[in-house]
Amino acid sequence: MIKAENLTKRFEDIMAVDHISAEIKEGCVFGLIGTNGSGKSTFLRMASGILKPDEGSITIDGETVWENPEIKSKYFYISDDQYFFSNGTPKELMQFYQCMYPAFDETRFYHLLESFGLKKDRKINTFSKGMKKQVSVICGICAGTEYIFCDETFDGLDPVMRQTVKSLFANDMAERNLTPIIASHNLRELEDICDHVGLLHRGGILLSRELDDMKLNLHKVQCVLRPGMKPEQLIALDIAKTEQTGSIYTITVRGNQDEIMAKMESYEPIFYELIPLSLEEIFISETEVAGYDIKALIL
Amino acid sequence: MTSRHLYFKLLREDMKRKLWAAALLGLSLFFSLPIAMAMILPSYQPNQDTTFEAVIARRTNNVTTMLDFDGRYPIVMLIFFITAIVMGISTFAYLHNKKQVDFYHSLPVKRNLWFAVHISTGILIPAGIYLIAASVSLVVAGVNGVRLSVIFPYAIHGFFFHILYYILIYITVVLAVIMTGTKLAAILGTAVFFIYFPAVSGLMVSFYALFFDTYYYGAPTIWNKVVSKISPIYELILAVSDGVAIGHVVGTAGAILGLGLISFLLYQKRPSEAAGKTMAFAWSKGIIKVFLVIAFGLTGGLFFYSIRDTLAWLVFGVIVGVVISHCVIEVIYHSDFKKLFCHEKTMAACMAVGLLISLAFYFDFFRYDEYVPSDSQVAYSSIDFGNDHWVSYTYYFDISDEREDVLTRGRITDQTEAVLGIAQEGIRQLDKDISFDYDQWSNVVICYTMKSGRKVYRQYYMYLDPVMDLADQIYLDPNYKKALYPGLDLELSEVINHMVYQDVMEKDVYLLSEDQEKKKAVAESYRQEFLELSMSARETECPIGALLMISDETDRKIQENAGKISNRSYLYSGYFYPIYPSFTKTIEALADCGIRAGESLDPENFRQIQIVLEWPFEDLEKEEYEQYEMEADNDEEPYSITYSNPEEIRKIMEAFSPRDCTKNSMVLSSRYRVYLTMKDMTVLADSNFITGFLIDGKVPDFVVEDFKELMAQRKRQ
Repeated sequence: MIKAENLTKRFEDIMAVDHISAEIKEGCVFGLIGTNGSGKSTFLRMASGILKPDEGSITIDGETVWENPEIKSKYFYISDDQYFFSNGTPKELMQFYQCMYPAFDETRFYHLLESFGLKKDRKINTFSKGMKKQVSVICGICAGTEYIFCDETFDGLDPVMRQTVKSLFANDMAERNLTPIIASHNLRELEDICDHVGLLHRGGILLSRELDDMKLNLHKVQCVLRPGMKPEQLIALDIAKTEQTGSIYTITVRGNQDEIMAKMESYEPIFYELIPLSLEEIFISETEVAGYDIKALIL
Repeated sequence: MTSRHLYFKLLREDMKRKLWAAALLGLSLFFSLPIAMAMILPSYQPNQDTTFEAVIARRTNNVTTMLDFDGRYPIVMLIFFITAIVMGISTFAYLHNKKQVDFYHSLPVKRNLWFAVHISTGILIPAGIYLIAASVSLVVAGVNGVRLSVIFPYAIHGFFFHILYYILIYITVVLAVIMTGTKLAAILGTAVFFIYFPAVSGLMVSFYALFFDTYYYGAPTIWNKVVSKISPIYELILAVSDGVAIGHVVGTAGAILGLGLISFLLYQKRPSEAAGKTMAFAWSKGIIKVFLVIAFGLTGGLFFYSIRDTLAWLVFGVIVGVVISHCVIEVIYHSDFKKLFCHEKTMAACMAVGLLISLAFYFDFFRYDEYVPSDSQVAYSSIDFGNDHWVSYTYYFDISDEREDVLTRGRITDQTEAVLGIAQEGIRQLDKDISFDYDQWSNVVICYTMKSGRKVYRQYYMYLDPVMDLADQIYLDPNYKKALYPGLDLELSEVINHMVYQDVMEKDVYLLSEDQEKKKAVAESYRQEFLELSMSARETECPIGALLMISDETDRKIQENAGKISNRSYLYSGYFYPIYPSFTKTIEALADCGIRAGESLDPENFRQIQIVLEWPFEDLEKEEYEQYEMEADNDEEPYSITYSNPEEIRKIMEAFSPRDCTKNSMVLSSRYRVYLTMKDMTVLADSNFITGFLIDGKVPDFVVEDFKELMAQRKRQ
């Protein structure tokens, strides 16, 4: 488990990460979401032992990360702009990583390179941005670590590659309990992969929730009410938000799906149906409750 | 995985990344060592004048020069110097790049291991490449007939010292790289580490020299003995020029360890986010800035004051220096031109310090020029009058009359009062607007050794006449005399072993009688009369001959080194001591040994004497002086008079001193240049003339009158 307690980092007079406390459990995909400058990268750089926290601590499996090679060998960090040796090839990069990651799976590395259509002896600096990201992800997956930290890793991957990488993550999560921590400014990118989401803003964490919890407790009801009836009269429902298009109301409601359906039935609407919420919509609702305008923050 | 195991793995990987440096260095050393050797050595071939052994000796000499740490073949040092800078910057350059810092520091490797790996790479590559180049060179040398057993120790010596000084430069560059966040800043930082302290030393010495009349350049101060040496470049130059003594090696090794330790600690403390910033550590920014700005301020003051020596320009220079340097440094620090005047309080403080230092020198706040210790404070003192350099510019080995040597050797314990009296007169003369006659003043240097052990030096440009009695007291002090003429302190037995007489004009050397007792009499008389010679007496006469006063040890050294210098007599020339006409006992003792001292100056030897007036008389009317100047400018025939009357020749010869006696410049008047024409031309094989000057104060009246008349005649024409 990765645990941040009161984690703080300043860059001169800029507060990059402001007293964040969070927990990331093994075997889930943790999405770290926030705008540019919200502190995602700084958080990940502290988690990976690059930056030393000014205050607070970050531990992995109970031990401090800073200058702790044993702990650092449990994760693989992919930065938003990964460094590759000049004139280095994927094969040379693998050889370098093998020095420090004893569990590095060479066979799988070559297999994945081939699957992704990347040549092991081609200079990495001749690869496209997306191909470089693929090399990084392949190295990360093959390193055999328990955690993989991805900073905007999906940015630059085409949709097919994005899905492939997600499936690779899913596979390793299932097979060896890999825990990916993915930082991104794009909610849609993480929607179908994250189990747990942390929203960062101005160095602080706005919320940190299990995605399923959020999804199970928040529903969108599209309905046409009886003539003369207004949404405000649906008092049995915990309405978070209401929108109207003609006679159709779209109501965001908190609560259990069955209970909501039962309550809706009791109001005898002309028509109603429950439609799934996107991650974006869930965040809008959750953060608006907290008093933030999420559209201004993320979208 | 053990750290040691990982270290070697990472080292191998890091070396792979530095193959380009290895290739460049290898290529440079390949051409400058084995290839250069292969081209040079065969050019020495035996011929009718050169034996095979001599050829091999020359080849061996060439090979040792090239493989050893030898300033005569500086190209290898230059290659290592450049390599040290390139390697220092490139091995740690990743610290300046955020991508690379993130990459390296996210890996499961401790920072101290990274440091060890990168440092090792930067040392092992040059060491390995040099070993290969040196090995190939040994093969080339062997093929050319040079015995490996002879050159191998030189190759080992060269390897050790090349690498030692390489590491010193390299570790300094590494420290600069670790302390900065960009390549430009690293290069500037390296330059600061290389030259800051010697530059500050030069600056302070310039301030002392410019503002203090009594400052003596040769005085060992913290600036020239300590501060100037805080530079790897200085250490390298010193090692090349003076040779590598054990003290230097220990000092250099200590500096390497110290710099290495600081680099190691700073590397561990260095925040990763420093990549891309000018300075990696906030605390170092202010310190470095203050030191640089004050130095630049003082430089500005010195620059403007040296052009226009007024207080206003001094102050202006300091202010301009501080403001410009402070602004430039702030712009570099922030990479933002708008930050020119941020930290204005620091700038003001630097300006205040710069002005305070400058004004302290200008107004002599600390009364430097007026300093005279009390008699009770002085343990002993030493003095050099600067007007008796008979032994000068001829030394080669261990004895010289270089001022520092004279001041070091000459401990005066009984004449402290006389020394203080001369110092007080020197200070008194500082106050006067004296127009110095450069033929007459003395440059007196005094070194007080205080009872605390501290040494204090002062220098005075002064006329000695008012304190000639004090000067005589000191000059007659055996401690002083023996410091100036170390040969007087030798055992008589040693002097006798090598005693020869040299004619002051012909420069021929004459062996004395083999009779040891007679030679001992010469030595004893000479020592006694020389020790009894006062300064005022010496100033009235010029030497008529010279005696060799040399120790067994020095003579042995000269003999050993005679083959290394073409003019062997040059080696001995510093050990011939003057015989003055007043040394009557010595002259008599020499006569007993069959030597007639001063024989070559016998007026009977000369057919005619030509005297040329080099400088006009002081009492010339302005019109006459201008005429003299004009004629001299127009290269017209000089004022010259030739005398052939034996009586006139005799009188002139009483005042004559050969050119080689200009070491006694106090005695001679450079106004009259004298050309002697000998009756017997065979005496001097290479010249018909002997040139010299007339002793000041002994110029015959008729010579003065004749020249005045000549000038008058010219004027009438």
